[in-house]
Amino acid sequence: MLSGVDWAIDTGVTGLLGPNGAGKTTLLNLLVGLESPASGGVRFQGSSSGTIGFVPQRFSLVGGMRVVDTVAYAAWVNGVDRRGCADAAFRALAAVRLDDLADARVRTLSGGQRQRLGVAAALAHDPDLLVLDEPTVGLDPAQRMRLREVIADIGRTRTVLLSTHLIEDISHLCQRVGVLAEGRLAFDGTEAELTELVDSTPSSGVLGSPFERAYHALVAKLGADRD
Amino acid sequence: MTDLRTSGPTPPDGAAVVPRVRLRSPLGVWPVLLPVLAITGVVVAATGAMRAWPYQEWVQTSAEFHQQNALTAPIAAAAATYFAGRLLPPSRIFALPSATRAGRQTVARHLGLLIGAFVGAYLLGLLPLVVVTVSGAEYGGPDLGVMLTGVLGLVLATAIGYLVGAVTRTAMTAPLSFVLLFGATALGSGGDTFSALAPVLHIKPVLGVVQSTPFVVYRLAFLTASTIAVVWATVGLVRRHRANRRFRGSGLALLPLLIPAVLVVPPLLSKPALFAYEAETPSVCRAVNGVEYCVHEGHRSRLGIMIAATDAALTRHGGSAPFTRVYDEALRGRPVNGTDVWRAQARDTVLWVPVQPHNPSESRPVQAVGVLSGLGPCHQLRGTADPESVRLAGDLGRWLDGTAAPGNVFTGMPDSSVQRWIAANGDRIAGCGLTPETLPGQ
Repeated sequence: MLSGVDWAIDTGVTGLLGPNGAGKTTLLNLLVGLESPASGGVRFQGSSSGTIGFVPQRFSLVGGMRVVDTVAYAAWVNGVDRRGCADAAFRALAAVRLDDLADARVRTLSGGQRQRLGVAAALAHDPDLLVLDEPTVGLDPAQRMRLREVIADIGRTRTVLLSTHLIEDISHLCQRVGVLAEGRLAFDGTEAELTELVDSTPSSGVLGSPFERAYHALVAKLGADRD
Repeated sequence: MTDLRTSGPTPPDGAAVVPRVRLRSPLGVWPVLLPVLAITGVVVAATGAMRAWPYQEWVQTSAEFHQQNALTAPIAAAAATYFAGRLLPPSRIFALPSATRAGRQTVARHLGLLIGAFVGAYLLGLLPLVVVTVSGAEYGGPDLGVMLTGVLGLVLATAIGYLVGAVTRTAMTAPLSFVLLFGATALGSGGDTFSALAPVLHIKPVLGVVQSTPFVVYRLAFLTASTIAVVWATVGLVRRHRANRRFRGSGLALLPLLIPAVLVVPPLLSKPALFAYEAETPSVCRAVNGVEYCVHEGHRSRLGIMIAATDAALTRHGGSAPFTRVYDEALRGRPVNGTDVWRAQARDTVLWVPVQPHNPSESRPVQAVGVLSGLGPCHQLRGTADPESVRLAGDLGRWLDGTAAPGNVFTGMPDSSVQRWIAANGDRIAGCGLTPETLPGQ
């Protein structure tokens, strides 16, 4: 349940943090239109209509399809005119650095390449907002770094909302961060401000990096402040 | 074959080879081309025997349009299930429910491709038979209503298969669709009960008979309404698709299926007549040696053959035959020369001869010989007839037919001697009571 979330994000990669049950999934579902708010809404540069590209945490592909067909078809499904789908697909594949694999079958891609293909599919219709839900989960370090580079590149010209559990994703990618705690936006600021707040918070738990322990203590504190 | 590729994209800088994008059939060509080849191949093979018939009849060719649903409908359904099962699961990155074209446009695009390809393949497979019928049929023309039931049957099968794929969200259920549709199309082949609902009939009409108008109209309405209901349900289902929430909203989406569920009731309660005699049955007649011979207009070219064969047997018989009219079975049910001979008392004087497109049986006087030799009565007695009497009736039949072999008891006898014997033993012949002692010269 979300309540009183009033949040504006701009060009660049904005991180969305929050523990399980904080309302991240609900917020993403509202953004992509899978759920409707009881009140309020989502606006794009003042307009109630806008396009969104969404890469869910778990998605599937058809192994026998070609990479370029996957993205071109995604472009069509998301509203691109039939004649424009091929160009849209190649632009999106270039953006995620998969253009050299355009003719390859999806089944031949690595986990990281599949994740980038998902981003390309979400990007092909040139959305106003790109929403990525835990995109780096399950990738090995090299693949994760490659994907972060891609996301950072996209964020230079687009508005990207990155939902993640990984503090490293935030620190490497996000200019701004929002923290959801118990259904409300408990923090909205820059990554440096979040780090400062985390540093000033006594850490909790025994496992994890100092940042992770401090972050979890912060989330607990932000949630408690609400009460 | 439909071009499944879009025009080539603008090459990105530095790319040596730019693959063409398959947008219309993103799964590639084979998931569409293989069933297309199978459908055309099955129809061409299954109608091969008909194409080889010495004569063609539009009524049979028209019916073949729905009879060929027997195997092609399951193929189309299985292919559609595969297509939907691959492209529609909401977990697919290109099938997220939030997508602009998820739902009606996606379903319309997929089904448009599949139905277009499968119906095209089906008609292509039937084309050689149509060409042969155009050049070989002597009467009538295509029954477009009947033909349309076959096309709609294939369309409905494709839509059902697609719905199965949308519901189960996997291509693995393609065999299930095949079995389901095979069972559905075979329902009509077991009897009249489901004939109005299933495209394949257990019996095909022949010349002189047509599929009844209420029956055809009902089938057209049922198939059309069912197709609309299935597509409507599929669109609703796809729009409600949510990954990891398998059945949420599915029940509501499937409500349109109540339409065909209601429509199946009337023909099950009151079976409609499948066939009706032609409203007008034009006949061609000729009298030879006191016997009137008539055939259906569509069998005009066979009248002379029928007369030659029957008259030869009557001449060899020499006596008075128990029939004075030899009529084509295609004339049954309608007055011939002003007399409804099928219903009137005069029917006893009529010998009905089947004139079939696949078997020119009128070229041999089988029916006439059956009556004149007593073979007909012997067959009516079934197993109770004396085997010796049956054997002698058979020998007499072959003698009358002109095909008596050296072992035949009548071979070598003068025709006049046999004819006198026939005249003297008319009652025994008619009652299947011939014995060796009654033979000429005994």
